[in-house]
Amino acid sequence: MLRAYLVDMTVLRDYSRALLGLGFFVAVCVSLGMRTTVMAPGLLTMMYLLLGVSGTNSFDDDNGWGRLRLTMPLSRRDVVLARYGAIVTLGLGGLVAGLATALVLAAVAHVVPLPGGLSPAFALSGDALLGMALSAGALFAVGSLCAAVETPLFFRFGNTRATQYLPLVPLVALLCPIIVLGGSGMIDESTLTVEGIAGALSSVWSPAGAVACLAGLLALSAALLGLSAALSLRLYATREL
Amino acid sequence: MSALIEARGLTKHYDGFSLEGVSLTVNEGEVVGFIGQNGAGKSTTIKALLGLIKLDGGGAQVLGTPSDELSHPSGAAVKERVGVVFDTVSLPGHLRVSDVGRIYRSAYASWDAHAFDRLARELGLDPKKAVKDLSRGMGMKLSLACALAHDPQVLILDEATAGLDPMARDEALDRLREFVARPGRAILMSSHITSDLERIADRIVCIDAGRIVFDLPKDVITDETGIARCRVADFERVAASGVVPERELRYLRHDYGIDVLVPDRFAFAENFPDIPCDRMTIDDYMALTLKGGVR
Repeated sequence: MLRAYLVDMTVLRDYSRALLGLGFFVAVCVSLGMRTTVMAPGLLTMMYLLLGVSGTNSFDDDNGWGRLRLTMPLSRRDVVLARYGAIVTLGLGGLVAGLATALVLAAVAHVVPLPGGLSPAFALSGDALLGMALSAGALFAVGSLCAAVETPLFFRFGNTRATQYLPLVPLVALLCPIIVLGGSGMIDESTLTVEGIAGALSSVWSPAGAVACLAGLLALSAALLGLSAALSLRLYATREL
Repeated sequence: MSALIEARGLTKHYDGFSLEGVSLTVNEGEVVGFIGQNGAGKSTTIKALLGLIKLDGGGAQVLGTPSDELSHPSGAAVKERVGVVFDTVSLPGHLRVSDVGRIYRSAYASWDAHAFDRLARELGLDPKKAVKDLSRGMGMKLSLACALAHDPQVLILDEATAGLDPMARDEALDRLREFVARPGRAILMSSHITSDLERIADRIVCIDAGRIVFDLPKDVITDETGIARCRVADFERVAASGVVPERELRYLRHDYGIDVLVPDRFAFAENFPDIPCDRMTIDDYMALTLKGGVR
């Protein structure tokens, strides 16, 4: 699998570099717009996961690359697992880029007084770091959910056809469950109050609570990606190239 | 001689096309030319050999490993010893030539980076040039360099010399000859450029509409058989003579006469010294077999 992963990462090298520049730009804009750097690592993690799915898979149909790759000493299993590895690597790259942006902005804010009272907003306090960790974990799980739904489509249909179905993914993965669960009464709407959400947040707003929450979110992400990989393996095993 | 590539009764059905019981072997030391019209089933057969498609019947082996295992963890390692070139440069366009070397180095334990660099230099490939900026010919040179630089035992080439200029084709054929001269090696090479096959192939396998129509040593085609350029009266005389066995008299009518496939051109020349009988080319043999009539 390592070989297939290295092959994927070599193909992605230029794309990753381009994403890095774009990521810094987005992170700065988001931080300025929201007057906080707390969301930057999480947003970039999710963004890179989503771009990672479409980016990595788009190259497979480029000149029949996916077909040639299978003439190399790689199995279909290697290809699938390496693809998930590459997507997660890009997601983690987004996390690093977001954290780096937050650190740079904090350093700049510390040295130069920023207009509009932004300097204190960009300072890295304990609360800010906790917020970053929790938002990154939550958005990693959201990104993983989308990756988990989209990636099997690429392995089943190839890039051209899968791309036609992609707009449906947020609908299927996010909106439908909310509508179904909410409409069927399976979710008690009384718990979805501002107070309820604030209560849930306060229970994780401590180092121990955050660690437990992050562990849960990471386990959820791993489970989603694992199930998706298992499905992709089945779909790609019968794909004709 | 042992078979390095073996296909038995390959069958695959698509809408509008079927591969029907295709069998072929490529033995050690052989170059087998695989010919046929566009859409005849050459690429489908090659995909089947490489385990890229699921068959409806029959089976194939490459280096003793069933083709359907080549994409599984149990068989993938065999592909270390198989070099493949498809009819297009099957690499993402943004990659530079040097990146392609990196990819192959990651994929093949037996990758020889020095050999690749040397081949790339000799073939005039600029390491900084992107795949999308290479001409078709240069792209095929890159594909050939990749196929050769991991020291394969078997080469499977699908139109690998297409797009190469005559000088580059010469060079490519020389390299393929050098490759197959070493023990334990073989080449399966599909091509529309039959003049290349006349220079390098040991055997010619022709496929049409998904079926193998002939599988002959190349020398039988180009050295023994001939093509008699007959007028109508000559044709009747040849048919009546019995020199060509009845029901084996293959012919192709043209505006200017009738071409006749002659199994032994030397015997024919003795019997009919007044009828011009040319050396057979693979193109002519294919045309007579696929388009000609039988009397």
